[in-house]
Amino acid sequence: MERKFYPENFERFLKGHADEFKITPSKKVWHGIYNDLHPGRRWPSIAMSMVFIFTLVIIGHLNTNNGRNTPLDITSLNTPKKSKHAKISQSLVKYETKQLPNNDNTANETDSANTNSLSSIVTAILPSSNADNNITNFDESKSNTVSGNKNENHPPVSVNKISSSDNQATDISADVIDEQELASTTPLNTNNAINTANKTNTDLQPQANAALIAKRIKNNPVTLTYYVSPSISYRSLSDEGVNNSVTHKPMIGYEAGVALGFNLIKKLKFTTGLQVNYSGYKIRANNTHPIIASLFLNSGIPGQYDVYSAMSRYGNNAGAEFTKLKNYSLQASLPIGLEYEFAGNSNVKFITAANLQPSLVLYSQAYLLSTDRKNYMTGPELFRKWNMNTNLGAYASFTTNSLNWQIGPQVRYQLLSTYSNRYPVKERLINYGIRIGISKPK
Amino acid sequence: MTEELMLYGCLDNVASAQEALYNRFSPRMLGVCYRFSRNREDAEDMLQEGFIKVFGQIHQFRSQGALEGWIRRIIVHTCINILKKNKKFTDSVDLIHAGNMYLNENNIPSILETKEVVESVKQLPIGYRTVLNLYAIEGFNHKEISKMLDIEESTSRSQYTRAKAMLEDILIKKKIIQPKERRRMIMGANN
Repeated sequence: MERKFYPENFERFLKGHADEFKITPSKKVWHGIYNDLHPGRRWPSIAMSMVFIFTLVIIGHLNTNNGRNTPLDITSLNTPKKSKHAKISQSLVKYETKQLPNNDNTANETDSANTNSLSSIVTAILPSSNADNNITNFDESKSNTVSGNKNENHPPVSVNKISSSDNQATDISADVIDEQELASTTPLNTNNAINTANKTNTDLQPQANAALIAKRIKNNPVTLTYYVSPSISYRSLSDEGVNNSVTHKPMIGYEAGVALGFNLIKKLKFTTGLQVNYSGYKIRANNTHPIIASLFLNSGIPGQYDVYSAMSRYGNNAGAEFTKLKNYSLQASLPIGLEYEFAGNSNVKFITAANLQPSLVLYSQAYLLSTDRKNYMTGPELFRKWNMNTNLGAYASFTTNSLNWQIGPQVRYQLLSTYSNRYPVKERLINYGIRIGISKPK
Repeated sequence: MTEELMLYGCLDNVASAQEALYNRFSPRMLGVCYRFSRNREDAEDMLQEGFIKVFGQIHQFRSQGALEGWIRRIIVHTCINILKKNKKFTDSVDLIHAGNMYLNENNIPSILETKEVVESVKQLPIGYRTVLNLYAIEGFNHKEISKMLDIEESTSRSQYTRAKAMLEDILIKKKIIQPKERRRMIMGANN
């Protein structure tokens, strides 16, 4: 290295070198600055994170519930509780011990009596075949009498008789108690009757309870599905001239929600729920010197316009150095629709779905094209607060690892213009997405 | 994009204008942060915080002065504020003696002179380095430095004198400059 002399001015020497010194910062520095300056624009990444966390939580929740249901319910079924339903069971026991002569052998044994009472109730409330199945799950040593009499001596016991034997008892009728009522939780339904009967039956086997629970779950007509849908958002403009003079690009949108499904008939389901949507598009614009731009707005009177003028810093003449602007909205929707299973087998079902979505715009940003189509400007507030969307989709449904999955394409179309009728251009958003849904199988 | 357009865009909180301004000035400003910091990671943290302040205060900029100088002052003040949060720095900058420094010549990178000078500055103890940066490179006087660092003005002077002597020693050992005596001898011989 060439040897240098001591500089005449040491400070100048230092400053000269120091000022020449440059280091290119890593990308993360700008990302940190950007996120700090534009917290609202972190929405997509935050949305993705939330969707991811949401998905994990739901999966975890469903898996946990699968593991917990049986022991919890068995506990509740076997745990004595002081309530008026206990009186029902007592009256039922009385009825059994008094009215069933074939139970003489075991009438003096409390356990047997209880088992009898339970079995008679089950016999009364379930179709005979189901009753058979349930009763045969009991400990044979405790329920032999029951199994011997369940069909011959306990022909569909009218629970109305039971109610007549005790004022506290209800008018539970075998005629009206069907499988669906097993899932019901009203105080005086058969489940409670079963529960109360079990209260004194400490020898009742868990398998019997599990069978009842499984039955109850199986007959639950409501399904709960959590879903997410990444999508590509496009827009359509009513004015072809405007459409041809702008450069808009699609952007990534998101949808997440929960759907409740109610079986109407075998393959048809009514669906509703709650969901949020983030969608919009990008605009290629260019920075310009500030300029007054004008927008002609419909006044409501034919041939007359309101003129809105504002300062604009963005031109509609994007060249090599363009600026990206975003028009987007965050909506909360209440989908109401139908699902129909049109094909499939026991492994995979193919379902088509359609719904209408009344939507509330929670947050929005819009750059509007000036009437002369030369500039983009913000304001006035022309965003429609309420809108209506429709959704069409088809998906495959299959079950793996105790979870029911739904995967398939969907299209969401915004029926009303993004902006109010004052804005002369009608804009509608279209989202093409992939729906991924998870539910607990019945 | 012109500086004026960048400013307009930044005033309007437009991301592309902010990015353009950042891209233009960040390499030099990171160089500033690097001289004040222990390492590159700390320097980038300083730079990030500094630019957030720049964009937050951009409306206070008056076009009469140079934009780069205005940004640089904010960055330097940000660096000092971050350093002052470090107790080790506070203790160090208030000491007259920074202690002996061992200079291992084998570890000195033989690269471009500018980088070597900056790396030499970074080898100074943090208190010396900060005062030297502020006085010799950033152009603050000792009164301003004493206020910025919450130290006595005399402390700032003595810190700078010692920092300068130590830096000269490092630069001589790196053979970037020659000792004053040798230079005088060479100049005398020439005369």
